[in-house]
Amino acid sequence: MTDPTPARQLLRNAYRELAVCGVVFVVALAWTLGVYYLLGYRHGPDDWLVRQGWARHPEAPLAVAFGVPDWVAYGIVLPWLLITAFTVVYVLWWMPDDDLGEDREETPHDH
Amino acid sequence: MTIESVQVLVAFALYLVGIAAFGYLAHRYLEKGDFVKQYFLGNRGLGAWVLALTVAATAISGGTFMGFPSLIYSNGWVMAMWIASYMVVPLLAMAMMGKRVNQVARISGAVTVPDVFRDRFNMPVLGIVASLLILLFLAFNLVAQFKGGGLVMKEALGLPPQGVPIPWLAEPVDLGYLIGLLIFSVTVVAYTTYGGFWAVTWTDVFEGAVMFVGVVILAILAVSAVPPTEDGQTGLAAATVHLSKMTPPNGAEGDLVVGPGPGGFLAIGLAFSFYLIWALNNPGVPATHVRLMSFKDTPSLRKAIAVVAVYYLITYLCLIVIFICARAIFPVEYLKDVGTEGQPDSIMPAMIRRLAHPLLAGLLLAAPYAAIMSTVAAFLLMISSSLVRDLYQRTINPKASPETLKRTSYTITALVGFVVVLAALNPPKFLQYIIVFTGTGQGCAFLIPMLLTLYWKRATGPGVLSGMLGGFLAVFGLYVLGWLSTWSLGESAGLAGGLNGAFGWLPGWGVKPHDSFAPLYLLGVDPIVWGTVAALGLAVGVSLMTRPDEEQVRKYYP
Repeated sequence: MTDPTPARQLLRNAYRELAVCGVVFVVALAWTLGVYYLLGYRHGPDDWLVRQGWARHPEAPLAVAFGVPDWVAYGIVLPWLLITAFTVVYVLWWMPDDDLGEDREETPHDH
Repeated sequence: MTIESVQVLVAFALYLVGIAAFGYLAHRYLEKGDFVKQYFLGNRGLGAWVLALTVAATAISGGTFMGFPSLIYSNGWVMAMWIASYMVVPLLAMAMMGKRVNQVARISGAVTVPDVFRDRFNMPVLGIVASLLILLFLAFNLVAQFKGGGLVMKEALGLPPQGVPIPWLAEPVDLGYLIGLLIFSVTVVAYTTYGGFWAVTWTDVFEGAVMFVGVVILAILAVSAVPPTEDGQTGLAAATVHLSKMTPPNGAEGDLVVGPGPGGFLAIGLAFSFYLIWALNNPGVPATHVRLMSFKDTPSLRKAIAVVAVYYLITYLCLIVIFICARAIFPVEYLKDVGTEGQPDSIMPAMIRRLAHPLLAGLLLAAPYAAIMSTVAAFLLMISSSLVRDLYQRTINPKASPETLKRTSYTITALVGFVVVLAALNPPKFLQYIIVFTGTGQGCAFLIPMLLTLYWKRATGPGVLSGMLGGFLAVFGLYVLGWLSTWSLGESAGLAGGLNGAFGWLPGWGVKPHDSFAPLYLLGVDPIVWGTVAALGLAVGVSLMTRPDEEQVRKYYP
């Protein structure tokens, strides 16, 4: 029989990890898709975003950073580096270890 | 056969010897402990490095090294957005449910993913449906992967085109492809059958290392081979400038460096969809779940996630760099219907042959081969585990002796491999789309049901079953509608005209797709969105209408 105390602790930690992953997923989605749509996407010259100055004019020259289009550098490579760094720090230092419990040996029978 | 081809084959042969050695060692390891648990799950003994590389190598498939490069070559920098969600995949696929799925599997003694569903809800039909869905999707996927394996081996052999008649096929099969397919099949089926889970995971480690070294070397060679610009820029910066001045056949100047790309390839709705596809498919596929059921302790899981995160970062960024440079090096030579030397799918072997010494080319060609092999081996074992464990041992013959199970496991694994080889003799044309289809189908059928199984006390068996079927049917239905829409494009008479009349009101119907296998993009988004919504709505709705088994809840929520 599995001891319920470490099993409960694992469940609590797993809920927290689920929440952390959900937040990172949404932040990364907003960042990459937002930068792509504003800096790396060809809009019409009369598009509302272009008139507001939030998105690039279709005739604007290509902006390059570190040898790649700037929307790739700031919208994909940068968040990828940051999220990888966060992932490494999170799993190696913040994510707690848990007791996974005993492995049930026999094959359960269906009722 | 040229001297170059011989050198490539020597390097390839060394790689295959390495694979065979791992298969042999794994078989000796199988002698210890419970056979079924060892053969299909590695007795829950995976350490950090093996877990990391088996997860990465299984996710990186033939599509990554064949379809993805051809898409970068054809569409340019927009493909960086297409693949961007791999930045969150290590967290979502491993940290989000790693501990919990392992804990639940230990409580029930589950060996396979259908075991988890069946035991958590004490509902055999749920396990059987999960097994059948796994069989369906993985069989489709395996045929496409075997085709990729045959094609890479054909490149390595370098034989001139020559048709071989096959009695039951209308058209002859190319000799190089046939030999390539046979070498690939015999190797991968043999080591998977002989060594089981341990052979698959140990070879994954070897294959993962080959892929990593291969893409890093090729990226360095590719960057240094880009022709300089008139103003003296070199390397990746020069490649970006070259691409910005190109006018792709289906687009305007500059389309290779900004979205939505040539021919509107990645409109914002599809960019959103593809972000979800990779981010949700990887945690949703049973091949990932079974690896999460197999690690030995949480320090192994934590270290493995860190390794996978760094591995994906370097591998995917290198792949993008390599094939952006490829477009600058071969501006039109490998473009579809334009190229003078080949089609976009040949761009990876073409780059390797252009940039590397033949011996190194052998190693680099082994990278896509390794990617395909590791995925095939994992899926082959999953199919045989579904048949042997879920359908035979737990449904047809629960009293089967260990010796019978052992014999059945070997026979079924070999038999499945043989059937897939026969199907791959006349393979489907749309490798990348089939891989996306099967990944999306599995993601929609299994992600939400698995998350609710693990984290929601109120979930019930009927609810999870409804979600599983709803996710699958939504994806399958949209693909069927997409095929019908493409088939009836522009027709106003007959059956096609009738279909246009009946479904013309659907947003997305009648839009010319990039590929005739493409699904219906309802409201401009991929079926993954609708499949996930359907799975969530049905699983939650039906669960709330039915009552959970309190005893099961106490058992799995201590």
